[in-house]
Amino acid sequence: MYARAVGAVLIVAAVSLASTGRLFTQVADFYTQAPVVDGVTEFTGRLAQLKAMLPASGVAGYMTDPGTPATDTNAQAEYHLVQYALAPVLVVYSTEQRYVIGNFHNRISTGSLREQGFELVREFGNGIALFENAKAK
Amino acid sequence: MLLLLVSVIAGFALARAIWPAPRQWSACDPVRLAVAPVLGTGLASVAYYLVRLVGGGPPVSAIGTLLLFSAAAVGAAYLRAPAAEADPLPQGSKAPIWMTALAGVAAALAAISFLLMVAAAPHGEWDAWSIWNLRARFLFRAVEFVSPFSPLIEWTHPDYPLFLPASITLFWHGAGEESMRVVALLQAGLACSALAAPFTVIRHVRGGALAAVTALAIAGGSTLVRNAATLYADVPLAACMAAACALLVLSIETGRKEPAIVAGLAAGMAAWTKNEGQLFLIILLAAAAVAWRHIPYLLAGAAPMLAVLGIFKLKSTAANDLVNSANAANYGSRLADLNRYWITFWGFISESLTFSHFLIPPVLVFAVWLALVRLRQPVPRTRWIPLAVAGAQLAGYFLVFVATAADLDWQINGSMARLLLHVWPIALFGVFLVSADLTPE
Repeated sequence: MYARAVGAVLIVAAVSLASTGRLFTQVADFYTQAPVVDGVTEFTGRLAQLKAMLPASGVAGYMTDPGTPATDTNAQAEYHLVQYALAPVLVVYSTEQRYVIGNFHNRISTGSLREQGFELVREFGNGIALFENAKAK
Repeated sequence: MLLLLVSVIAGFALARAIWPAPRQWSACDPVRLAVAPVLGTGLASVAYYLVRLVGGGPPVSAIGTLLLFSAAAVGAAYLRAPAAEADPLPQGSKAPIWMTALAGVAAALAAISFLLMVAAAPHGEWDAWSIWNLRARFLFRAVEFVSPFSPLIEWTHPDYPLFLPASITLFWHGAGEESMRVVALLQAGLACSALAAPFTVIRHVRGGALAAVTALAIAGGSTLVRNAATLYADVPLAACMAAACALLVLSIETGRKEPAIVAGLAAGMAAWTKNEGQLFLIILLAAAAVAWRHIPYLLAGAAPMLAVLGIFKLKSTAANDLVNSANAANYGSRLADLNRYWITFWGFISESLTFSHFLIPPVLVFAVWLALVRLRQPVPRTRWIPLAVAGAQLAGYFLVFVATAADLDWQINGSMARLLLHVWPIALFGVFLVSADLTPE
């Protein structure tokens, strides 16, 4: 192999190994600090009891903290995770269904929701609750 | 896990059934093995989809159909072997041991990083659990075949084809549970194909030394490993595209028509993976115009997948968000907005400079490579096909960015790296295909 070719191979090798090496050190660092149970498993695990109470198929509504903007990335992620946990039940971001899943981070009084027609079916902890919409019965 | 292995064997047998070789291990079998995960996964997804389409209930009928397809592929490969023409012998020199070792270190670092990432996040990242694995869960859990494609969950993109979700579902049925290890193993197999298809074809037509650099460079793109661990459909698409392009080049270089049929099949599977794959299929057919005799074989290979995709699209009620009527109405104004071209142009430039976090921008690295090694003389027009395909695919993505109704900055930040990844193996394959030999003639 001629000298220019060796040089060219060593350049490609240096940048490739630097790229994979950098990824490896980042990932190894992250892995040692990562929680034992990953975020998706932990979040969807909160919904296990709720899933058991829902019918095997159909449509359920979804609500979260009042005033949450539609563009809130965390709120969108949690809604998508709720759908991921509860499939094949279709979860729509709307309260106009008979059963509505609540996922709250702020304290909410069930009284205020009752006034809007939502009867608490069961609270599961971690801000997760199932409501029945009297208007959609 | 066992069904996943069966599908890879079926993929290898399918490659040998279409492109036969004598019964003993043959010179092009490494290439066939390299594309086997792509073909096997495609076969599994089609088996699952067709069974659900005719109202069959998984898991028994879907697994049975895959086993039937596999047996047919093995049988056809076995029967065609005695009359098969021997594979053409590989060209070029062997790789020096130090180059093989460097490629091995890069591949090992990539593999360990992948394992650590999927161990830390077994469900992958956002699009995995909001699109791809979500659809697989719907298919796995739903008795009916309607809710996975409901317009009520339009944000899950019900129009996206089923190469990945349907194969995952079938492998879950085989495992008897929603095993994320199966999903990770599938992604790992397809990532291996994205690397191995260009590697084995370069090894066959250009020799071991250039092949070792090809493997080193593709594995060195950390975006490939990172993205495989996200469990998105971008690495599967890159694998299908790399397999199709590499096989077409092999077909042209060896003068055998059969690899072009397998190339067409892989390109059809790219179209069955993501909508971007449909653009790739069109571009590959257009690029093959410089070797026009191969076009009928490409079309013959792609035809079965296009038929499946056609049925899926006809039955899908959801329109792609790019072409739905609301978005299509404003195409003209967006395409006339020069500012959108400028923003997209800089999006491409900045992402291509930082792609895979190379110390030096990859474009510069491979420009220096070509300056040092020089182009092979002469370079027939057909050897430019991979670089032309990569360039045309990126040009297509450029126009899609300009025309998209979604927030442009958000779209660029969220997807540019993944789109560059689609063409990463093909572009490197193209660079090493036109490079001069590393050893003096």
